[in-house]
Amino acid sequence: MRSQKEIKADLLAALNAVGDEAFAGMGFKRRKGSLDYIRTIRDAQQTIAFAVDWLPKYQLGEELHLHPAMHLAMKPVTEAALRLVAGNKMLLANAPDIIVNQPIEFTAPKSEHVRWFASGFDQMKAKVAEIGVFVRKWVIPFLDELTTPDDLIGVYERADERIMKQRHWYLFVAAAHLEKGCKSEALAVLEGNLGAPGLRKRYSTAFETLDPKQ
Amino acid sequence: MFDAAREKTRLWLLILIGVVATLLGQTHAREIFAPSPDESGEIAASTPASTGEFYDGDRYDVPDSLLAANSGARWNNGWRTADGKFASPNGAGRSGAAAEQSVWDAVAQKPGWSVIEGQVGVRNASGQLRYYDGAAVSPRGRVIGLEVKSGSATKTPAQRAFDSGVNTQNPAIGVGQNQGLEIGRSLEIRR
Repeated sequence: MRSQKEIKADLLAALNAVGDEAFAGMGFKRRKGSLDYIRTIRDAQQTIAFAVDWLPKYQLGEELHLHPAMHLAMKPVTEAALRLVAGNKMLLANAPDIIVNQPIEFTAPKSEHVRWFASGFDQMKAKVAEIGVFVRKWVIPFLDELTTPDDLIGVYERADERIMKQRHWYLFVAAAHLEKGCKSEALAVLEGNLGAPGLRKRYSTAFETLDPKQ
Repeated sequence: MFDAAREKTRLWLLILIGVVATLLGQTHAREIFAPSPDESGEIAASTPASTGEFYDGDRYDVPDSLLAANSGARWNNGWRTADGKFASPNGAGRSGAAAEQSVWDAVAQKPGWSVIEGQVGVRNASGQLRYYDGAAVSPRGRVIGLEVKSGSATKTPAQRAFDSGVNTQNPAIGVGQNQGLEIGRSLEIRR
């Protein structure tokens, strides 16, 4: 059985061989030794992270399980979100830079979901190529719609099902409104989604920031 | 009155002696109370079924009757593969190997639900680290940590302590590749 270090070296070689070119065509770049492809469009930094479980115990005989994730960051929204929660990062899952971190499959219908296992360089190359095709087909159209705070508000307003809506997602949407100077809209987002008594207590800082009378 | 009590005691003694004699007549007392493989972690050499089936008489050797359908899995302080890892006696591979994937599939089949596959690493408020066997995402975006157990496996005390402290007011926070995740609940699923 090969060590994790050897397997990772093969994966990096596979990314180098087929991934870099495929992702460059979508505007992503990868630093040497990294498993993340990053691109910046307008206000957004978008990442396709090759999340990996090495030697997965749930699929014996395979060297890795690739379950790539998409990350979305928007600096102006993060700054507004931190103002909203008065610097309490824990209300933003201790990751204020990450607006969304979810498996890339969430952007596709369930019938299209795939589990990518691989062993050895050749299989890894094939899986990386498959993932590239999947990203181009399903993830890029969604990421192209998520480049500004306005886009974030748009995704919220049309209740787009391709995004994971954890509680702090609503703080980021409110922050997008706040960043535009629309306090009342920001408050409406919080009232509509975090207004229940228990949640209101937990996120009281955000409510107070938007409406000090509360 | 004393005669009646003495008679009652004598009757109970006779019953007790009869029971003991019956048991001794059937088998040796040591065999009756010998722990099962499940309890002792080894095969009791005195069980009639196993006598004569040992390869070399070593008490950790296993008779053919105790080799599992899973080729290579044998009883050695639990069902184990040749290299000592816990194994399923009924199927290929390690114990619970396929359990995670079947749970992910079951969750994903539910309308509106999604699954975060692979290990999900989180920390609680006191900084303790815990890995779940994936996470279920409800239609409302709530994330539930999954702990998949197969066979007779149970949560460790550390896992129980961690999970009991996690709630929506006090969620566990994702770390590493799971940054940005909030787990407000966990669920043990048996497969």
